[in-house]
Amino acid sequence: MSDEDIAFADCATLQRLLRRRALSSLELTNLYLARLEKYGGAYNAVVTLMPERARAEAKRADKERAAGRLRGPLQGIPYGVKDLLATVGAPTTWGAEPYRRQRFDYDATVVRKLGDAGAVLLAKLAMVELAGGFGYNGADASFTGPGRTPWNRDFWSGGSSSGSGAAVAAGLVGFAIGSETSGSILFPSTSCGVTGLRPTFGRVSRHGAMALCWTLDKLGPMARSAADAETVLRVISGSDPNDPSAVDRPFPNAKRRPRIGVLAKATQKTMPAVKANFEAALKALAEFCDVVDDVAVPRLPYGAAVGTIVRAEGAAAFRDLIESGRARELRAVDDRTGGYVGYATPAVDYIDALRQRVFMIEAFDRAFGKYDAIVSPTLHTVAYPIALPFDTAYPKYRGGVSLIASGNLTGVPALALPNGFGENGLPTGLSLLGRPFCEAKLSAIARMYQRRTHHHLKRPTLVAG
Amino acid sequence: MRALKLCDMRNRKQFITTVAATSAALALARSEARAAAATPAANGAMPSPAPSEKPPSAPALAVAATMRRFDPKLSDAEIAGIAKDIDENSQLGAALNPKKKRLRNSDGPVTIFTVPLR
Repeated sequence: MSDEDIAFADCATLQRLLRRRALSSLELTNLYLARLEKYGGAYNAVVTLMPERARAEAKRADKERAAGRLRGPLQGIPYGVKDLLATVGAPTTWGAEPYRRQRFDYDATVVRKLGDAGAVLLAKLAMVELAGGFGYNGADASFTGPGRTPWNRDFWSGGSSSGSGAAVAAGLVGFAIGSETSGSILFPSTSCGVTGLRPTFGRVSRHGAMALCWTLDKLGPMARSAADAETVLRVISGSDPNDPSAVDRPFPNAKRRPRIGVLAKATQKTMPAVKANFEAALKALAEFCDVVDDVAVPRLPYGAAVGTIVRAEGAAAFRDLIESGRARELRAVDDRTGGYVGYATPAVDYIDALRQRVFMIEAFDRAFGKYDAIVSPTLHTVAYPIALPFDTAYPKYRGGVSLIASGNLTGVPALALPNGFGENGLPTGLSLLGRPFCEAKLSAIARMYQRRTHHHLKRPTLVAG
Repeated sequence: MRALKLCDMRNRKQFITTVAATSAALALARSEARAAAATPAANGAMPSPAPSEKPPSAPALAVAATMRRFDPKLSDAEIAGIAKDIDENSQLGAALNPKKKRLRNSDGPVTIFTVPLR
């Protein structure tokens, strides 16, 4: 295998190479570090490289493997984390100038669990400042600059896990960890053409992760295949005394031919390529799933609820920043004042938004409970152009049906995967939304889809920078 | 509360007076209102909204102006932008309970959010 083939291999392939001693973890780590240095800047994907820690962890993985101590499928595999996870040995900047020099003396639980599994931490990856909680309206919303998708540098890598998406897509890491409050794993996974898994709320501990919205925040894997995403999720999942929301739950598997519901009006207000690729994906899914058309999402005020909760909880989480007046140091103009808007959210609206979630969870269960997955295009368009404000980028395709807000409000899992390409050579994607704690069912469907199609194996032509 | 419109305010003095008065009416702390009212505008006049755009409401402007206690450099344009977003938030808030259903103890909100296993 060439270095390029190794860089873009999935975790299972890398593990086979390591097990056969065709490659050491240290060699693999050095390969990825070199690629991060060479390409990371071109896509504004990296905040901090961690070569010393990475090489020490890789040497330990090699040493343990040589001694016969096997730690599982991620042993010796290098990865990166969104820069909102606390790590020893590097700043944790939250993508924001006011926190640029912030350091923690402990590892986030996810980082600790990955370390216990023998994975090798390479880098802190770029993100939208404060995970986008203050209402940014353009790609240039991080002190590291606008994230660029490896498929076309003039377009945004998506947010807020921008660097995680770009680094996986460009073969700069074996896999990455992102976070989602409302779309921040699914969006960049689609814009970068990678597979992202947003777990059920409570599946993964958030200890050591920046809090934006404690009732919405989730951490999850971004990877080159659905199989990799599930492998990583199983490692990072589980209860944690430091995060009472995190629970131990089994990973139930589908015991029969999967039953999939197609979201009603899913392709209204989508770009032509998004529609065509989605329809082709449905044909591929129908080969191994029972597909039911026109499953309607219950009509409830998802957008209003998620907007209210993000603003209120975000303002509470960053109350110190807002009251200090240092929000002015944020990169995006809208972020400099967005915190004040959240600060003024009426408590009654916040309470009503939380109350709506009870109804939403019940309505989702009634509408979607008999399906293993609800399928829809993840986004209505390809990646957004960097040069334009979001609200002017694709005016024709605004206002379509989406499951991002509703899925996050109800806390259910979703898996985003690439399904082809559209305008300007940019990837398109579909999402599978599942029942609580049924991530393995989504992964099984996605694995069968990826076995039949090869969109997830496509590689971008990279530019050094 | 008396309905106030931005377009009624003919000069800056009147605007500041309005901010202070409305802030008090909104039961904000008096010191906060005074701070907001006393803070000089950083960057010139209020922006002229586009003809088709509805100007921010006076109550929203009043609340927005209190944010100068955190950042005295907030310009009039920034205050107007904050106020506009506060108005939009109010519309979202109204959408959350369009039928004005009264909250009963049995349908209280999620305060410790968990996802039930079904």
